[in-house]
Amino acid sequence: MTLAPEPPMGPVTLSDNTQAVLLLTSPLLVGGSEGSAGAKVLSAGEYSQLAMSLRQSRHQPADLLNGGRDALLASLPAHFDPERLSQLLSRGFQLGQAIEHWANRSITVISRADEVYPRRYKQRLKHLAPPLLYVCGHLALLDSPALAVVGSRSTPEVVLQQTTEIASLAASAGVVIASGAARGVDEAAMLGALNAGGYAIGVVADSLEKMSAKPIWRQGLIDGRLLLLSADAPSARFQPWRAMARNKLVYALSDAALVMSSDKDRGGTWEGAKEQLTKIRSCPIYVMDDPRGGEGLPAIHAMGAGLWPYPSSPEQLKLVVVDKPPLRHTPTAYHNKMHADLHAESLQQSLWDLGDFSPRLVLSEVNEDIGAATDCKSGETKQPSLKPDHSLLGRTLSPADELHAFAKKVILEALEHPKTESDLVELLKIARPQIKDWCSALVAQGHAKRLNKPIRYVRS
Amino acid sequence: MAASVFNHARALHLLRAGSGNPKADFRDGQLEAIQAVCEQSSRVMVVQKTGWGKSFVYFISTLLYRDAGRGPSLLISPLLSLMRNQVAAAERMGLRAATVNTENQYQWQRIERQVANGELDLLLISPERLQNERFILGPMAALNPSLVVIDEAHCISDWGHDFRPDYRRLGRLVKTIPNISLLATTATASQRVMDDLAAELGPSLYQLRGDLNRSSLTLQTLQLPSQTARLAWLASTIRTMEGSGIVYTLTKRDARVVAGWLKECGIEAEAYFGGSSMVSSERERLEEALIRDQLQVLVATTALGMGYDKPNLAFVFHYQMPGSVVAYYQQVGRAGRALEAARGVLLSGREDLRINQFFIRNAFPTRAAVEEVLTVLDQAPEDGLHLNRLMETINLSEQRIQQTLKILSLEVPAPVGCTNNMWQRLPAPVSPSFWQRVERLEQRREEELNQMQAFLELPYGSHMPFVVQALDGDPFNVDAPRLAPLSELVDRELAMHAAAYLKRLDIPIYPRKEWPIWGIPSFAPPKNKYIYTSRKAEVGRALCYWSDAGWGGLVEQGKYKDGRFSQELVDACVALLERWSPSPAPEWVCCIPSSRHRELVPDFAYRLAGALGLPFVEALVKVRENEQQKAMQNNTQQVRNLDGAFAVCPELPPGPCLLVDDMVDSRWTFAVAAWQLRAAGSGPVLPLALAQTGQGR
Repeated sequence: MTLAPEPPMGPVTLSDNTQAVLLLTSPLLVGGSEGSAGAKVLSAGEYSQLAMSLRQSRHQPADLLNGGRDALLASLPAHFDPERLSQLLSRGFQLGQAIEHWANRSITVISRADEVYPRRYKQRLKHLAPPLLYVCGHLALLDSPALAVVGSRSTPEVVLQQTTEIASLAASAGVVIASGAARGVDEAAMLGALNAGGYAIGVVADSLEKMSAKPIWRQGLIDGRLLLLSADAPSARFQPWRAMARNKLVYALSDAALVMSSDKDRGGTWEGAKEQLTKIRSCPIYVMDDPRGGEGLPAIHAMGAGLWPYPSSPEQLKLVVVDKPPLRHTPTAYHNKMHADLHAESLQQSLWDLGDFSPRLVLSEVNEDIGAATDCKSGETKQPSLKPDHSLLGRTLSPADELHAFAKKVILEALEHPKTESDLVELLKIARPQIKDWCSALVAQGHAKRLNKPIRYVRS
Repeated sequence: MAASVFNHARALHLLRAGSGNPKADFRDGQLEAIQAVCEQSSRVMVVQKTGWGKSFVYFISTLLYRDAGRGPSLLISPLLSLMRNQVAAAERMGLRAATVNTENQYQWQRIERQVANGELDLLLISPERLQNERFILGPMAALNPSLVVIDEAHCISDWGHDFRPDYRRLGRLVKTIPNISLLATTATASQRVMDDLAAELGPSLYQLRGDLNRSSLTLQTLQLPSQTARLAWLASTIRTMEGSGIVYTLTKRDARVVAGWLKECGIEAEAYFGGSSMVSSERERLEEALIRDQLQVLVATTALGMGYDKPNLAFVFHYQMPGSVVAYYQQVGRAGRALEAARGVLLSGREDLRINQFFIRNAFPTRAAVEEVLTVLDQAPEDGLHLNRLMETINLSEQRIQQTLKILSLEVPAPVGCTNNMWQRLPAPVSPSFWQRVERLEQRREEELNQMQAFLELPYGSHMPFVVQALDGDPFNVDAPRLAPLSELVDRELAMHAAAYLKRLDIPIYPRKEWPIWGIPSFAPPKNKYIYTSRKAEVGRALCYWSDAGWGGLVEQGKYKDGRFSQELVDACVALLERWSPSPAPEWVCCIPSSRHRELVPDFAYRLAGALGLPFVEALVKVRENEQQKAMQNNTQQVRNLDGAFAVCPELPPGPCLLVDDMVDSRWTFAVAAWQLRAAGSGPVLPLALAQTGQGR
């Protein structure tokens, strides 16, 4: 990774635009939505409208500071309630106190108008991109390739173990781990990366001020290997709806996402993944192919998430994250209800099943999809132009499919007599997760059987 | 161009109404200052000597802002005494003013209501208040001022003689206060300080600077090394002065000693100092008493500081030399504001340099202290540690630990922070620039001290030009002193009286009432910090202060040179007991044992018992080798070091006892010994020490 560790930021003077946006939208040091001027702070939506109106009159938020504010307020359409805006803007001293307090706690604020504001948020979230981000740590991490790793708070230890391993692999690959800094999978992923000398970003739903003071994050912040960020003022307390809003921000700054565990039909992880797969589609999503991750995983898979390909080297992981992987399912491919049947069917199939459609077509879909997501003005999503098409089957066999077909043949030959995973690893000299993946698929397709105690596979 | 709320006719009307003089007009620069402040979002700096009328500038500006429908003003000032005066003055001008501080919490609710209803025009606070959670987060946050006034703004500058950590924070805070006007005022700022402030407060700072010369003041310096000579000079001179004044001392202890002496000479004098040893209502009473001429002299430390305003103060004398010319100017400048002539005499003694260097050394935390505090907090639990817990682990004085934490916590970004009284390590290192600044400041203070030494040597008539030049004013504009110099001769008889006075200071030793929460000794009931009345020591006495001009020399000689306290000290203690005549009177004598000087204290106590005609009992024995008590730096460490150190002999006499030791500082040795003696059946325990150490040691 080329990022030079940088000392945590010193005193930063906030841009005038950021100051104006803070006055309008932030509760500052006082909690809640009351701006402690008797006026409620603007919601993200309200602020967007105001920003648009300002832009139309060739103004920017900074023009609401100092000199010309009265004239500008008077010129705004009446529904903006100039009295309320004026009250919010009169909180200059509170603003000074807040900025000083936050800077003291190593927290700074950036707004959409700032150069450093993450481009991905603007591109992917459009008008839903938070007007302000409160950040603590190394801002440049926002420009690096990132893998989002998410999951529920109550996740079995063994899955957390896997999470740590994947995160440390990401660390070796120079891929930043993005997560929510909550207990469970989030912490395991971020600490896995940090402890392996890597980088992490935590999008915080709890108080950023509290979170950044936690001993587990301290060294990462001091070393410049961690960034904690939040769209909510640093003193904000945890609220379930905040966790929901937070999920969006995790996905939106990542190149790919991996769901380690999830409940079904409930919980932040589930809702977040569902929102991604059905609405926002910030990045490709994978799920673990492991029943210990909970009932949510197969269901998220059914909604369109890919199965995690278990990369076994940093290079492979980097390919999964950065290069668009040969996905069988893309997020939008399964948005279309007309293909509901196909979902059910595809669930039974494995990654390398020849019954699947061509990866090349999928690739083009992915690109298409990114285009669609970044171009959604109306909020309605453009359908992908290409649908999975079974008529293409067997016509062109991609190199990957050739490999899979060959592997299937070799493994089934080897399984004439029962063999453990270790036997196969020994025999074929390939990574265990790959063996596991292929064997499970053979079992699922009925080509092989699984024997217990110890776990072995045999051709059926 | 920014909008202005200025209105000349209204401003003049307010001035006349406020001053009670229908013909009053603005003084030089006042109107200009008001105009500048009334520009919305302006940045204005006014340097004028005290008494010029800065408060008119912000009172009138506040009212003009209010007339225009804008928010109230926030005045940040370091001193309570000033605030009380200011609230009264503001009210006379028709402003609705209030102050919030630790001492008027019962009024906070009312003030919060006033803020919420927009019924307040001016709120006065100390900079420390800006760290207070209730102030930041409570209803008062909604004050939303349109004008912020920083009084004594030189405190923001690193180069100021009296830089304060909380002001450093304030300087950063006001950098980003959009839609608000800022007025910074001071009476004492050199060009270097001004440049620094312009850098801190923004390049658009509009500066107004007045003449700093005080032509009514006659300055003089006298070098009188001994305390007795200075006490005698003060008494004889003050008797001849018409009107009242202030005598400044460097330490509380000296304030007490000098005030006691002046009283003994029939002068109406009282001591005045800060900190917890004097309640603020007492300070308030003393300030009032001086203003009403019910007192002739207030003997004060710098706690009687900035902003104290008595226009007809006839003199300001210094018992010891302040650390810098600017500090001196500020203190002496209180005299003669509304008089034709007034005096400032700086006495300087042999202890001045030692005390000032002690202040410099202790102004900032040491690297070792910072390292130790950070190491402990690094390993602290997630919620952090309470100060008491830190004292348990770190052998540094409470004051030292607190200072280290406070200074670090005011850094940006800060390596430590405090939430709900729990100190936490924060995700920022101590930056190298922190230490650079500390070194620069220490060096600066040394330079200031040197400059003060040069001031001492000046011939009569050159003092005021020197001061004005030090503040970057024009020394050639300064008039000659109006009064003839005072004689430096000292009345011999009075000096002998002073020497005798210093030999009967009879310093009370108040008993400890609570154990430190993490240092409750094993012999006391666990989890009960209170020391029962039946186990507590009585109020005792110390014969002198360590190294003072009374018995201090003999005590020092006995302890470190002769290894035996002289007979004179025995006689002095007998005399002390006569003056003291405690009730109940002691019936037997015992002492604190030591394993280092086995004979020193027992020998003295034995001879004292003999001289008093009382039995000496070896009631306490040392049973554990502990660290030297004076190496223990805070309460927790001090009590722990004593826990289990003494054993008590069985069968003690049941009557009251005199418990003798050579030194007393933290009073824990007496507290622990008294508990153990009483538990073993002794009557009330009366502590007696030869010398009180600590404070300006």
